[in-house]
Amino acid sequence: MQQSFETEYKKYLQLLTRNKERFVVWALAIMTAVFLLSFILPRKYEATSTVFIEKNVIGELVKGITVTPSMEQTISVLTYEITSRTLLTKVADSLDMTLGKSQSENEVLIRNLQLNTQVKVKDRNLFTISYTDKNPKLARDYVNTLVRTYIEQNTSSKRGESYGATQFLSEQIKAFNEKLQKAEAEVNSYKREKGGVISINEGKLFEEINSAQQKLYDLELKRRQLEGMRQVTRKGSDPLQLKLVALQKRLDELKVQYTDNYPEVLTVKGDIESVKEQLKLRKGGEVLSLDPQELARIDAEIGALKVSEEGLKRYIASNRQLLQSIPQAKAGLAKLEVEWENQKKIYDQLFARHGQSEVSKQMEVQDKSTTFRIVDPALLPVKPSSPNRLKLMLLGIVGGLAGSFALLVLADQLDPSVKEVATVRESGLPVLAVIPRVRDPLGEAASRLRSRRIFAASALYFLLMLVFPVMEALDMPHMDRLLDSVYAFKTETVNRVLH
Amino acid sequence: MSRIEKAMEKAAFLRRQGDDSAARPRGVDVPQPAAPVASPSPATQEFRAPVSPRYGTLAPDSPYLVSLKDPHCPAAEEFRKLKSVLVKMTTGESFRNSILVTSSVPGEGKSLTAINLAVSLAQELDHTVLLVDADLRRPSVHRYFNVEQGAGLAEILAGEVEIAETIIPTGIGKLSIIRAGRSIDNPAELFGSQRSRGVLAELKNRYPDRYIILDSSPVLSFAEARTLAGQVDGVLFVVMERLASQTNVREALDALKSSPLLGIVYNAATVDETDGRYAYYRESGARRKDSPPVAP
Repeated sequence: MQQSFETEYKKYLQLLTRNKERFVVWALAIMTAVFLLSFILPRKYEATSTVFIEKNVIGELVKGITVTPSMEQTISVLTYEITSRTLLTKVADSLDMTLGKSQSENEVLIRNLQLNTQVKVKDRNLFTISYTDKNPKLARDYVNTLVRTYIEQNTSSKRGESYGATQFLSEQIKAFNEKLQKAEAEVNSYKREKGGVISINEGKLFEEINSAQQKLYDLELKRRQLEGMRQVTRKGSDPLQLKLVALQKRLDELKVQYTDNYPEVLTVKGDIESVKEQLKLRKGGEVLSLDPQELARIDAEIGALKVSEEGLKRYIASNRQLLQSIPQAKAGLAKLEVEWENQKKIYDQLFARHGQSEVSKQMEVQDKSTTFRIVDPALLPVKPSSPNRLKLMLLGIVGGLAGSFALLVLADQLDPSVKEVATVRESGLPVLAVIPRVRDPLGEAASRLRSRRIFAASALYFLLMLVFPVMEALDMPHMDRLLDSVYAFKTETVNRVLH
Repeated sequence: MSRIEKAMEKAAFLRRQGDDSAARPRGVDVPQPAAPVASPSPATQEFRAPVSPRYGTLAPDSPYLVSLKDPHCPAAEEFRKLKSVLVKMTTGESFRNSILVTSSVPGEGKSLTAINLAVSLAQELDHTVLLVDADLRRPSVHRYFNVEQGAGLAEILAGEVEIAETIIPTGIGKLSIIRAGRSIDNPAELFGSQRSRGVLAELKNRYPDRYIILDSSPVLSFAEARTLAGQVDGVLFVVMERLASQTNVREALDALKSSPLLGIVYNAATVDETDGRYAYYRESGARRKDSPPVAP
């Protein structure tokens, strides 16, 4: 491996030493061609504008209150926005570039503009827009117009956005206001409807029912008493009855002390029998002998008690019903109220946002939020950006050497002559002697002189050529002026010939 | 190579050039058949190698003639190795002494390989060597040896001169050369002729211990290399690194299939400088740099 590399290296070195004059001349020829090319290539000028995305102090101050369009997003789509078809078309129109051109030509134009426009973002809030064109003036005007148009459009779009947002919020607020009012009305009407029910305290009601129940019992008791009394009153008013009652009483008392065969008991018993006999005889019509006044009073009292009893019963029943209906009514109200509250919440939020958006709108209107500031407007480019002659020339020098060497190798590869003893050996004949190249001092001196002359001339020529890159490096525009005058002369001649 | 070494080399080089111009006769531009010369040299300098009276000791100055100029460099060493391999291959029961050097396409170093091999062989005491420039279309041997073109193989094949008249001793070991001679339109036909075979056989058989090395044209471009390849005892096929394509090599070898191919000489190989294999040679080469790298 090492061996083969060494032999290869030696092979190329020999190739180079053998053909050094040719190598130098070819290299110079390639260099000359590249140099010429660097001058012949159409010159292109680049105009660049730097735009600063300024964040206003107010923005920081009103942070949270206002909602400003996000800058990050703006920057991320900047390139696309700037090279968008609509914007470029607008710019081309305003620069009269589309004047008198067909649709397809315009397409090509726009595509070229897109290709030659470059947007670069640096440091997050600084970006440059550059454009290359053959015409330096056009490049400058284009960049400036593009930047201006973009900023205008951006500002107006942001304003539009803010306006839109405010408008949307207003509309929403209006709609929600209506909804809220409706909900409120519903709640109110419900309250009106079930207001009594809702406001009743359940415990109290329960107590009331209980006390009413108690009262009812009391009334019933009283009525019963009265009814009982009425009976008694009727009996009391009959003397026979009274006598009977007294006798009965006497009998009872006697029975406690005495047996039934006690005379007095027997007497009383007889009396009772006789009274009873009398009472039986007196049956029919003799009853009214009672006190009618007293009776009527009792009856009236009983009637009144019955009425109030009825009333109480009804009261209790209705209250019981009421008690049952309270939870339902309350649930209905709660539902309505929740609905209303939700509406209200949204409405409040919307209202708050509306206030923010109003401030944002005002900021946008007064340009108080982020703004684009043109730090560096595009200037008329003096020096062509392309071709980069210096680079091209340096490349030409390197490429000339490399290309010349490649040509040498290629020529050597293509050379069909016998190059090695091994080739001759293949013929099958014995190689009797390998005679090294004999040096002829005279001839060598002559060839040395010749190659020295060639080298000297080449060196001189190379130094002469170096003038051009040096001129380029020092920004000396002599060559451009010369080329311009040559082109001018050519066009003039062509025009003269044509007319 | 250090700067001092370079300077020294350059100085030596200049000195040699001065010597050459002094030694060589002026106005050699008129190529004419030389007077008949016997192959063994009459006048011997400090070595026993024969020297042509007309050309003296030949003084090649191409730095590519490593066997001569820098005999201790790795390339020269490789040629020596090639030589010993070749000697081993050719001296068997019969002495296969005629060797053709060729390649698939022009410029692969055929002539230099032939010359270096010839010099290397000649420097050995056992062998005499005759280097024949058989590339009649683009002859180059004479250029490397710094002699003007004159009567050579073309004339021999045309029957205009005798072989002996065209052989030039170099003064380098026992090496002689035959130049290509004047340019002719149809070398392929000439080589295909019966006369050509006769000439080759004569060259081969005149001295049994002599190596005949033929530098020919490329195989793919012309037909004569193929013809010649059939007539010699062995063919060396030169392949230069990074010149001929693999297809070229394959086609050329296919064309030479019926010839006695000895093997391939792989030329201008890339040598890894850091490879330890050649370090020894370099050092020894550097040590001897003080003495002029010219062969005797």
